[in-house]
Amino acid sequence: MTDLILRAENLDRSFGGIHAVNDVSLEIPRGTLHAIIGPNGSGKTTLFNLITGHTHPSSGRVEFDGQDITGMAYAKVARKGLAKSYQITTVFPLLTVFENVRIAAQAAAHSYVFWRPADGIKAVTRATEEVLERIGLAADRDVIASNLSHGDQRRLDLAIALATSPRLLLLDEPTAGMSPTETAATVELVRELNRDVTILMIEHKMDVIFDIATTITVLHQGKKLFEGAPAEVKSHPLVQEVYLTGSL
Amino acid sequence: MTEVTAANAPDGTPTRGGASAVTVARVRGRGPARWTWGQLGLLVVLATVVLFTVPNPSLAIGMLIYGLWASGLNLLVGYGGLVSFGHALPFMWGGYAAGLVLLNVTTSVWLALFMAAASMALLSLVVGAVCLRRTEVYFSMLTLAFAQLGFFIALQWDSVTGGDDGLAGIPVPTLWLPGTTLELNSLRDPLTFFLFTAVVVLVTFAALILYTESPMGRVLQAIRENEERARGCGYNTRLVQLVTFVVAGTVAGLAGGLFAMLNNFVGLQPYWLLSGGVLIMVILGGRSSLFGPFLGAVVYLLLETTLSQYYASWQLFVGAIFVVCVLAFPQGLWGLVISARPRRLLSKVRRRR
Ligand SMILES: Nc1ncnc2c1ncn2[C@@H]1O[C@H](COP(=O)(O)OP(=O)(O)OP(=O)(O)O)[C@@H](O)[C@H]1O
Ligand SMILES: [Mg+2]
Repeated sequence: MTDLILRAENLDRSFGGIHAVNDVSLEIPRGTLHAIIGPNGSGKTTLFNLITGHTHPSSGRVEFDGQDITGMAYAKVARKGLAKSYQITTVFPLLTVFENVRIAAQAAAHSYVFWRPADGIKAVTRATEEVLERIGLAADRDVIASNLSHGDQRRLDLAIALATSPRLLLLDEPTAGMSPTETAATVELVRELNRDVTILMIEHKMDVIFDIATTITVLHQGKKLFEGAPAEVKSHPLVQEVYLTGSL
Repeated sequence: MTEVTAANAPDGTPTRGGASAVTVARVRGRGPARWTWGQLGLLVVLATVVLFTVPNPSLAIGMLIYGLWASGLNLLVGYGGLVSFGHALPFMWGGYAAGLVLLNVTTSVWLALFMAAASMALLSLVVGAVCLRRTEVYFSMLTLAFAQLGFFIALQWDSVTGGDDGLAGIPVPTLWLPGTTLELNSLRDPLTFFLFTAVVVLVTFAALILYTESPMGRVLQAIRENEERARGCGYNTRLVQLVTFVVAGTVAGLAGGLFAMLNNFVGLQPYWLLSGGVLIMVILGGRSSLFGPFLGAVVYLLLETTLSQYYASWQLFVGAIFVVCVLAFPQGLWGLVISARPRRLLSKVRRRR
């Protein structure tokens, strides 16, 4: 048996008449980099939301590291070690870059401390600086987040997720809206992060994940269309058709 | 697509689209220097100035008390983004609590203040738990509703509050210190009363600074910025807001207790006026610090006493001044002072560090 960090079984969710996620199952072994691809509106983000507890599935269950987390609130899921970065950049706009990351870094051990200044907690400061260094935002630590370039804000979004020291990192299109150079750097970063954290990642630009993903799941109209190694996915006729024509 | 969230100044005040050159300068690059413990020094200076320049001792002491009350409220308004319309509730009931202790139990100032603070902490826990079930303007309306409720209870509950007549003849509190005993008589010995109040206010103010600087206080600000993301970091955001609501309520209770001792009286006052007044102090002084609202309270009371000497309808003027302030400098008086400092010099100093 492989050591699974996440097991999603038969997840299902509709919005009105739209069957956003239709009976999707996922099994993610620890340490892998699992990618989800699919055209617009194919249910990728909704699938993430079902896993993180943003949206409750109408049926199915989610197991994280051997524990049933179905229907658990987002904050609680996050505390268990599952962090997510957002498709639409979600940071603390008027706080500095350093502060943004520190909020996440202090969550594990010093979340509700009110009797000592945050500046004095060395371990948190060090953890924050490490993440900034790793993500490449160390030089911008005192910049107000909303003043960062779009690409840097995307990275900050990722940095916040990373700073919570998760065991599973969910990335929703981390390269969305990035230039080709920024995209390449981010892909490289994701590959590097994968060395010590399992990653489940949504990506729109197919070519960027072929090199780094262990497994790719293709979603189409809420259904799992295909799943396999990158090479298999690339050559699969159904996948090509979906991507070339946008429909089946 | 990604939303661009640059329409705000670093101190949290929204700016209008097509921001002026000044605002852009403020937003661009590094944020303004943050005053943290320096605020304590500023407060000492302000209190000293008040002591030596304000001729009416009762007004001078009132400035300290209202300042503390407003600073505490700013935890909610400025740091938490939670606009309470009912902050008179813990202030007035804190006054009743202290008054009742002094009248019926003991003249110990410590016990009276402790009871004022502790009872308002408890009350705020209940009120906050209900009000924080909603956000934004619905939260504000709920706080207002509770304040009104508290007003009518005070009005009806004659046997405890004295109803319309209020609690009169509250005895002069005694301050037991190691070695000596002091009478805190605000009429006969206002200086002692002022100094005692100043010490209580400074210590409480320092605790407020610590709270805003602590991990918890930082999370409070993060929640104001983006609650969804704060949840994503694993925080129980409601809990953080509730604790803050309790802290602000406790401080208000303490201030109310001091105010009751200052006047030897607690009476009914229209809550919505008092709640509105303390909000004006916060906005006037500036929401981005704890010192700002304190300054706002001092200026507000100064305006009130000066204008009311000459005009019966002085509130009209206060209102007009308030409107001008909000429109012309939404960052408040203290925000204005900070941004007027030579910024270039400052950034140079910071870079050298
Ligand atoms: N909260 C919601 N209410 C109603 N419909 C929703 C909701 N969330 C998602 N949908 C619908 O579900 C479908 C799947 O949306 P989802 O955002 O999961 O797609 P996606 O694969 O992430 O698309 P994209 O590539 O554009 O990000 C869409 O048709 C969307 O309109
Ligand atoms: Mg999506």
